[in-house]
Amino acid sequence: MVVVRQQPESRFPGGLEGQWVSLEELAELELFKSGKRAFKVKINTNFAPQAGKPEPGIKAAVRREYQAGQVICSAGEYGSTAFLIVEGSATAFVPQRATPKPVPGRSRGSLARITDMFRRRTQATRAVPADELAVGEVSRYASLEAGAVPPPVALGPGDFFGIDTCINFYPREATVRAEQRCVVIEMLRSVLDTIRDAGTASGKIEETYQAAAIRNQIRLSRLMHDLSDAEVEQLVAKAELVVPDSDQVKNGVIYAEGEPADAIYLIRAGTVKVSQIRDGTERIFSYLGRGSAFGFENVLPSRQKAPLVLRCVSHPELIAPLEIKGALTIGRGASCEIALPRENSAVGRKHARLEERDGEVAIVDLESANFTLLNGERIQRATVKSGDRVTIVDYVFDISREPLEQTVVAVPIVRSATVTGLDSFEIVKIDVAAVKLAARHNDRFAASLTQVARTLEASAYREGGGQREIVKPLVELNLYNSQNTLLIDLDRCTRCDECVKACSDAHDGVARFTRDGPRFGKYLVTMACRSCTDPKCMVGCPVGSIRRTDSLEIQIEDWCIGCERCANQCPFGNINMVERAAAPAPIVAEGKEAAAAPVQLKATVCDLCSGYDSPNCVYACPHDAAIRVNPAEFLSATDTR
Amino acid sequence: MLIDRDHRTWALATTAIAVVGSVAYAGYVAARPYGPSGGSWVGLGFGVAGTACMVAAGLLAARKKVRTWRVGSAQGWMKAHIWLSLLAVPLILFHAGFRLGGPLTTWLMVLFGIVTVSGIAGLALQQLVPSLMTSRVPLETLQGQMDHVNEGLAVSAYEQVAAIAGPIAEAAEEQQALASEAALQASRPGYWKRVSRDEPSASPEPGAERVRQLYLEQVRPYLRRGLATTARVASPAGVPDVLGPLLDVPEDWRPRIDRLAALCEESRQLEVQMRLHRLLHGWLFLHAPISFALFVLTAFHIWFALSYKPGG
Amino acid sequence: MSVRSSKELASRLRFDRFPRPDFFRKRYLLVGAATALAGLGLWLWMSLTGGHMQYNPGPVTQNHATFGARCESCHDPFQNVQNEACLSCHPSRDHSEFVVRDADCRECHVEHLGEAGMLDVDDRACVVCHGELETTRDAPPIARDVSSFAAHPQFAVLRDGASDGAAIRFNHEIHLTSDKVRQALPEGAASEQCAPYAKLECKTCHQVDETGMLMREVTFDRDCACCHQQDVQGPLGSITAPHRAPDVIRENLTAKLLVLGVGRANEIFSSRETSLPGVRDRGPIDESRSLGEYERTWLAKLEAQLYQPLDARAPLLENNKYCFLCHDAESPYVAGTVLPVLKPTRIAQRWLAHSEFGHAKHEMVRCEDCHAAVRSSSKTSDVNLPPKELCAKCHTEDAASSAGARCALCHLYHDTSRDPAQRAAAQRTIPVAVLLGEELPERGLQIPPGPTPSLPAAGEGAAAAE
Repeated sequence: MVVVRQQPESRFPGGLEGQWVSLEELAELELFKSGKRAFKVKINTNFAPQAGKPEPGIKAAVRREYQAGQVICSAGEYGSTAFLIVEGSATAFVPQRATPKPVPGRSRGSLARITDMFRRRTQATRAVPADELAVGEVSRYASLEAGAVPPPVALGPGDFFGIDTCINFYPREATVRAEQRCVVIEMLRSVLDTIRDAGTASGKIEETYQAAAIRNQIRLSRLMHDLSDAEVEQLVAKAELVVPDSDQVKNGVIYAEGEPADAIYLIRAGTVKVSQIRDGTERIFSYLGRGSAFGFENVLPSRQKAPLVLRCVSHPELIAPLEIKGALTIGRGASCEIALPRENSAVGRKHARLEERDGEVAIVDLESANFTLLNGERIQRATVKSGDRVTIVDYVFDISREPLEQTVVAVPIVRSATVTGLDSFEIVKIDVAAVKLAARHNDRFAASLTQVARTLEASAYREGGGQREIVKPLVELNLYNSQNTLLIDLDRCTRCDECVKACSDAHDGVARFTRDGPRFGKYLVTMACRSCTDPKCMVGCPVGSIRRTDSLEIQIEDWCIGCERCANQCPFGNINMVERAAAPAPIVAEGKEAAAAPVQLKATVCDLCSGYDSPNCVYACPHDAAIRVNPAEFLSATDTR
Repeated sequence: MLIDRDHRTWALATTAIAVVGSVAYAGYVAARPYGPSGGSWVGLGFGVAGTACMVAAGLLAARKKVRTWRVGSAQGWMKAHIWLSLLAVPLILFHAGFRLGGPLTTWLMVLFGIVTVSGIAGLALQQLVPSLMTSRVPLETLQGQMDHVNEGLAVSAYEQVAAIAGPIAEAAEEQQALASEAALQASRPGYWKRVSRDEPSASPEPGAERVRQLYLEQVRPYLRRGLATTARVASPAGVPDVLGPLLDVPEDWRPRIDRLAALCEESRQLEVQMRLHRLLHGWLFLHAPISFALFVLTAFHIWFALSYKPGG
Repeated sequence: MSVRSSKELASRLRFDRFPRPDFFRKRYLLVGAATALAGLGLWLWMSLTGGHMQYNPGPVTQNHATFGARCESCHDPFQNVQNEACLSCHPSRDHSEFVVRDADCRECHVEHLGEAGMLDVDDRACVVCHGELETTRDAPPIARDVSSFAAHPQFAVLRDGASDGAAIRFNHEIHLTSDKVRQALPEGAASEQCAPYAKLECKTCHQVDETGMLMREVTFDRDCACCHQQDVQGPLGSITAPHRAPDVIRENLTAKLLVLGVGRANEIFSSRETSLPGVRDRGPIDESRSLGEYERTWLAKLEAQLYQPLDARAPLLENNKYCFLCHDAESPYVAGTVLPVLKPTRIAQRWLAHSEFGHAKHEMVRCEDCHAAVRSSSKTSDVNLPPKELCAKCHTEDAASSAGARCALCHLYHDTSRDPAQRAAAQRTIPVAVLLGEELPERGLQIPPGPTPSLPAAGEGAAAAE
């Protein structure tokens, strides 16, 4: 039977550091006020003090004091706690660049390194270089960059921050530094969950949480950094947080193609899919993740321009002037929208194509034999504007922006694609009228809005052919969510199990992953923790023992009670329950009986070999078959079969 | 390990050293009276170099015992093992002057030959068999768990058939397994590997007798065979034909029958996997143990050869 | 087949036995240890059945095979075979007094190669030194880079200016071609014995000696006497003078005269003039009054004939018959008082001082094929040996299709051939007990070093081994 011993390297054997705050005390706080009865729900015995002891073995909520100038939390760090300011004040600001704190490693002295080598422990985990870590950036898809830095925010008593990191397990968005002597209460997620689950108090917390979420997202978004605080508040007032449970969301669809474009959306957490239905099949354009934004149909000013018109000047009797909308193919073939006479064999069957999108028109030469000229120059693909002249063999066309005879009907602006959320998500929806209002009064904002919006639209609708092919299997296997997973190249793997044995050697005889799993082409996606961006495993841990501390890997602390919730919730089966060698002594609350049966199980998960300089599975594969990558970045269309 | 572009440096270095060694050997043979000898200085040099290569290559076994020690990655060690062993071949041949010598040295050459040839054969297998396994065994599982997984297949087959034909008394082991599984899941409410099983139908459905017959006569014996059997393996002739005889079952049984066929196919694949796995790993049984004997005899050879001719 | 989720896969597996070594791994170490022990066992078995023979890299020569597995007869632990081990049975001689470094026995004589390697010394062993020869400062001139027969310099005896310095006159041309040879043969009883000399050929006088190497010494008594009988006119006819030193001749002639003077006194002396008893009166030849006077007179007459000085007018044979036809005098004959002293002839027996030429091995070759110059050689000083190029015609590097050109074919490192005494001492008998290993030979026995042969200086010709 595989057993796990006391994890010797836990850095937080006693839970959080600080003065213990009982749940009853928390309940008295304004924010959490509710009936005391609610807090009798699901109090874990581990969190209550033993008879005669002032503090429980494990502290889930603590009171801490910071002096002026001390940093409470740093941007870019991973964490698992939320903070409530009780006294004093602090400032939250986004540093120019996030400086990640390296994980305190083992000893670095040369002699100690030698002995460490023989004790199988090596150098400290390499600190991720700062420029690899963008604040708030987790997804790779068409994201906003945190170019300009939003202004700092003052926090005072009653302000609740760090919730995003606590609940969603993203790195901290901002650095919070105490301005004066500051007293905060730091709490684990389980405390927050307990309070949120408990009846009447939850509404207020939800409100506060949502308000904070919206405000933070808007402040951090690059789109909005030209706005003043007052303008931001105006937007916040017109914004709401969209989650899968929201009324407007049906089956995960946030909006469908053709619906009125009445808001823009900023993605706070989760992933959305942008797609269109054409000829009955779904065409997926892209996936957007945290930090990205969408829904700018109504904001781009180019939509209000008059359409470009194509006029044939060389043979006006043959071809009527035509407004350029969508895609127009020019050629001899019958299927072309602009059909040139069949007799002229110098013209190709499909000679060229005009593509219009959002008022921008491009001309593409479809590999014709006698090429296409734009203003006398031979082109392959180029943007055309009003005044350009296109020549195809004998036929000369002018492009102009003359309006046609009929008046331009004001067409209501509708959504050009369907956006669906995958799994869970949190999206800030801002009313487009408020945005336009802000743009009218703030030129800089308008300009940056347009520019950013264009970038997003371009990347969102980009026809990346190869990308699309792999996107489907990536989603099927849930790989878009993974940040770091162990792939095994099955053409190299000799099934020798060295990787598993090394993992087991490094973790006291308990292998933390399984060399089996679904396949992606020739790669085996092993059942090793994928460091998901939205980790489901951590949701609802009653004791908050599964968490990220200050780096990417997930740790399961020693006070895990073996309830198997995280193992059940992990969609991939990457968390394994193993038997403990010795159960921790049951902690009995005063006057109560001992808990029913001693805890015997503990959850184990891949911890990216923190404490080693590199993961042992990769290090120990003799055939160079094991790799640890971000699968969405690594896998390409050529890997599929 | 796949030999690919990453081996360039090692391959070039090995070839370069071999070429240099050949040139040196040719010159040495031409100049030395009576030709090459293992005990001459040059011959000893080749011997030392060749033995160093062999010992370094042999340390791979030790390296694998300390997997987490940072003494060089496993890939580096593997490349070193392959190329140093290949380099040892010409060096030892030059040391021996392409002669077998006396009884002890003849045994050494024989063992060296066995170890080298088996190693090269193993390397060749590693180029071909992994991708063969990948393509032929899509339903691959872990080697150490094959028996357990195969039993799981048998239990699933019973589950499918019992859902149509009611409980089958002959399948006692499967019933037992299902019962233990249910008991475990009952005792552990949060059990994370919980599976939901279809209940056996209370009474056999009409027309289920055929299914039951086929299951008992063919499917169950096939699935319950030990995977160590060397019966017809890769050829589908050994796999029971489930779909053929049961083409005309009612539509709602169709998924179950398909699942039965899939289970048989999976079991067949597991056997293929086992064979390929043995092929991929079996040569090691010759390669590594013989190398231990080789080292023991090499130690004797070094001692006694030097005692007779310490060089010159 | 649809993609199976990893959760499904997880539910099939049994994680409590993880990782579990499979069939192979469990037995791995066991098999490894067993094979290692098997290796040890193999060594033990070989040691028990063959002892040290398992380390024998190749068969030894026949003679050494009697040592069986007693490798310590030659080998000392962790040392190369020491010279003393060889010398305990095989005496050796230094190669030359001018060597800078003496080679160890094992550098040229390599065992464990069967019969090869011990006796037939490989050329490369010689070339190690003679390819880039270093000698002591006082060494005579010698080629420094002889790496093959092709690079071998011309034989020293054939260098420019070389000549045969023997102090004897002999004209090969006349002897081999002239008709007069037959005429010179005697009649009568000696004719059978001298019949072979009627027509002179090389082999008439020159035969291979019993060693098969050199030619047998040409002696006057056997080869010259038939035609060149030294007959001097005595009192009653010719008296044959022996071919000896003058003082021996004198004694011989004196004895013969005495025999004549006494036995046939009647024919020689008259009774009246002599006081010799028993002498009848016959016709007088000699009027000596006493035997002593007879002896003296007739001896002087005979010697005067013998020691006529050389009449150098050609043809020599017409005017010369006796000693000085062929010999030269160191000090002349003074009639009645001083006997001549002849120059030592110093006829070379062995021309090639530092190599061995086996005439017996070359008997398939005609004399004239190599010594072609002889037929036209009229002077003693002619050196009639073939040049190296002639040897090279048959002795090329390609041992398969020629007689081979190995150094050891002609040259000896341990050259005992010039010194018969040394050679005799070199053949040491080895007791059987030693051969069978019942006692180990004493190490380090050596014969005392002898004089080393020296190279002839250019122009001197070969020196006789003396």
